[in-house]
Amino acid sequence: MHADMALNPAEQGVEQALLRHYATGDPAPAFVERLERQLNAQAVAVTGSQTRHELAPRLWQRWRATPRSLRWAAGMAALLVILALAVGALGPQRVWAQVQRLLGYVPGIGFVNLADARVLVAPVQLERDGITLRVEQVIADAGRTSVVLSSRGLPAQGSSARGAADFTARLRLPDGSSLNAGDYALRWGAATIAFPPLPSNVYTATLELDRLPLLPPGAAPENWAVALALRPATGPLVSQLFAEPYQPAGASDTQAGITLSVVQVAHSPQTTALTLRGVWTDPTWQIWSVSGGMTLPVLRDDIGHLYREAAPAAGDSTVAVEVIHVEAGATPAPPPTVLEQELAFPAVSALATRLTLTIDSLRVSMPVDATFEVALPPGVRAGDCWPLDIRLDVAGFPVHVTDARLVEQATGRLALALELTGITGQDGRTLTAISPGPADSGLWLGASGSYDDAGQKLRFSLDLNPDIPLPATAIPVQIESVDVTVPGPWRLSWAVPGRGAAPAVPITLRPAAATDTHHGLTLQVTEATHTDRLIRVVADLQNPPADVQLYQLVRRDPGSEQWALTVTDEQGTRYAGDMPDVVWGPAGETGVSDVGPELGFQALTLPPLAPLARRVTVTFPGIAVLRPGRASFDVTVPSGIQLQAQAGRPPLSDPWPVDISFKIGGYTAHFAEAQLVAVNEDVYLMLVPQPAAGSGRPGLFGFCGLRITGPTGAGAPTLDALGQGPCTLAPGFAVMDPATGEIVPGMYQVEVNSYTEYVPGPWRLSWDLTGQP
Amino acid sequence: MAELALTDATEPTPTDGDAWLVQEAQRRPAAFAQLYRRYVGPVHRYIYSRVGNRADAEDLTAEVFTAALRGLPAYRERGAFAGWLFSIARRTVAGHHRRARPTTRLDDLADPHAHDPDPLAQVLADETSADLAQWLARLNEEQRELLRLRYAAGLTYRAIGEVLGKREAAVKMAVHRLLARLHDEWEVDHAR
Repeated sequence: MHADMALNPAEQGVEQALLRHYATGDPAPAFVERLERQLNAQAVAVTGSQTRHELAPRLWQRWRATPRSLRWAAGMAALLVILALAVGALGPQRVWAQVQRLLGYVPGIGFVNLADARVLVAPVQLERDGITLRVEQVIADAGRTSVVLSSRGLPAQGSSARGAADFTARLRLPDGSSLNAGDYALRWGAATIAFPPLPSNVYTATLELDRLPLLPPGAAPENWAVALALRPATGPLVSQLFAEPYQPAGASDTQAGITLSVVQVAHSPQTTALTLRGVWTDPTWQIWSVSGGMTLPVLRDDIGHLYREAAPAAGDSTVAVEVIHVEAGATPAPPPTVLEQELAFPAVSALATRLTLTIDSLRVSMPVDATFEVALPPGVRAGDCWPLDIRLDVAGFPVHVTDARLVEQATGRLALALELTGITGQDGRTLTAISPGPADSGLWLGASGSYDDAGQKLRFSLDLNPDIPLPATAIPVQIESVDVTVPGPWRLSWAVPGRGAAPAVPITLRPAAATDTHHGLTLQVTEATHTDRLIRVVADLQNPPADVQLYQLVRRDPGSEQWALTVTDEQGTRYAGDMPDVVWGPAGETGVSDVGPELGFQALTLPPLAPLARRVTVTFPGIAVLRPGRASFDVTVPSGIQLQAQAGRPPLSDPWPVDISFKIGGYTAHFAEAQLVAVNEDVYLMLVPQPAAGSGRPGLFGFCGLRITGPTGAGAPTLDALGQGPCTLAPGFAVMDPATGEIVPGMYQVEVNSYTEYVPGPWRLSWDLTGQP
Repeated sequence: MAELALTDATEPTPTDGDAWLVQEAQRRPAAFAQLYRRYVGPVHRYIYSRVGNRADAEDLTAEVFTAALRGLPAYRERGAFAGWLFSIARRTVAGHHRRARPTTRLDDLADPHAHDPDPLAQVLADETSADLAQWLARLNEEQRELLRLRYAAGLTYRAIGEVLGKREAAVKMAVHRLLARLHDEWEVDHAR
């Protein structure tokens, strides 16, 4: 029962009566099964864009509900009739052009059919108390009315689940009646809302929102009303307002028996979007997403830009991907599943002539039928760990279940944790997830797991039902399906229509005079690459003292944590800070792992200058330099320390006081508190850092090259600080015995073999684009 | 009468398992099935306690999980997943009541269930449950909703707080008071 309630026996009786009372509402098993099947079918459609037009999925669901032989026959017949009519009337070359004319890419909605649609000619916005609500677009067709919103200036307290669940919106029609919102997709600062279709003669409506998307009550002005005026999407309006998709030629690649092809692309001023078609040979496989592999899909152009996949935003460009399944050696059959996933990237360079989409690996779900029993030692209790020697063939992988542990979770429930090896198969395939069959026995409530890339292990955990006693001898486990990561890469390359044959070459400068000096150190721009999309600046120390290296260009003031990087031109025009979604790499570099915010600490990726700008000045608050220095100290993990679950954060222990002081490089470091934190199924000790260096004077910035010796004499892995590389002011290291899963109390010795020092500026680097000093 | 099914075993506490399942389902919607299996019982029980007939309860349960499946990509873990799911369930039931009463004035919709008798009262057969149903009918809607979320949906106090926009301690106190009141009134009724 609810263990957290301190009820007297009589009240417990009342509680029992209430539970019995409400138990009359238990669902019928047949209904539970039926609904699960329906949801599974919908999951296929949802796998694609969450915001795309819903007409296609509904048709697809109806299509899927039809017997397979009829579907195939009906599909072929319909296709032949349509093709015959179209080719006869228009001629083969014009068919695709006519189809294309009806399609447009609408940011926030996707590729839509604009025939007979009414649209918003220009965005409409309202501002109240510093918050701007903007209706970016409205597409009203015979199936539905889709509204795309954005909002800016939102309060900092963030979104809430209640804000999402309680979201309500209406379209008020001229006659006073209203249409209530049906489906919607909400993101922070953006939303796509679907309403029922507008009556055919209605061209004006008022959008009414009780609250802005994802905002909790009272966080911002409420009861918004925006007047909308629509026009038919006909004539030149369509091409003016909507990016016209094209069909790329030859954008296809086959790896590991899976063929992926880009079938549709659109470029809008802020975004680029694609459609991928896939064919594979095993009918039991499912590929749910091209984003499910080890790394995300990456788009690269022939100038050297790398574009990171981003959530669709107003004005984005999109790429669509479709997956078709063909059985090996059989008559081609209709696909059992369709993946229609809109991948949105930042707008590609206007000078790019060729694009390449790289998908590093794919995650494939496949059914298996494997069962085994986990033997339980007599009197097993939470915290016990015992060896197993279970060997299984799981989807062709020689899986070896080596260890079991009974773990008490933060919730108080027990979990049976299993460790599996033998998960790397032939052709580089890796078993990355296991799904158990339904818990018919009621012994467990759910399962979780994690893949350890470094250790080539899979950890798999069953959340045990506390109301059912543990069996005396063994727990039966059935594996229903597994996820296998199939390596590629798939590289799908195509020419962008209407662009020149030769790619633009970025301008690379080495401005010798772009230097600045503070505290005896001189920083110099070693290379500045300018393209139409960005500036990439690489800097280094000029003639540094021995053993001193540049570690990082610091973009934030370490005292206030405020962003302090600025870019200006000679006219005083100020440009926005870093470019997190687009980076640039030297030509010929094909790696895909370097996409994203640059972790190369000596480089900055900045926005491009206005066309007529001649001189750029970059200012940032400081640099960090790496210096040699040695120190060591001890820290003790007390016995019996517990971790507590935290909402939305990793489990933490209560901090405990420590008194650690040591000197390094003329600075005195001090730690007053330590704390345990669970990260990726391991437990780390974190030393709570002292305040960071102030903005005006040099100070300690991080400790590097930690070596740990634990109570047993063994070493322990250290925890890198995310985004700060291997040097951090908050050192952390593992304190869990990987064999038993237990926290090992006792004294740990920490050795530090170098440190980083913050050197304040502000640093100003300025150079002329014409090559003049 | 169905066997007592709502125990800690099915109590949708905001567990680590939930967070993992939500992440999996956001990445791979097929994984939504496990969340569904965990919550279909509590959601159906809750809705049934609101609408009082199986046909509507099944339709609305399907609506809730369909909406959750579609809304999952936008869900960000700011609290318990159960809180989010049951907020959808409440909204769905509220929409059902609005559709069922098209002539209701807008002002009445501020609390669309203010005058609803607890529908379970119509289906309870045994004497204890009938007594309980009568007692529930004497509560106001907010009190009934607290008990439904706690004992039909099996939510934790924290999750109930997220659904109702109240502090966990306030929810806990309110439920305790209701149990104590029910116990006292029960004793008085049966002593007569």
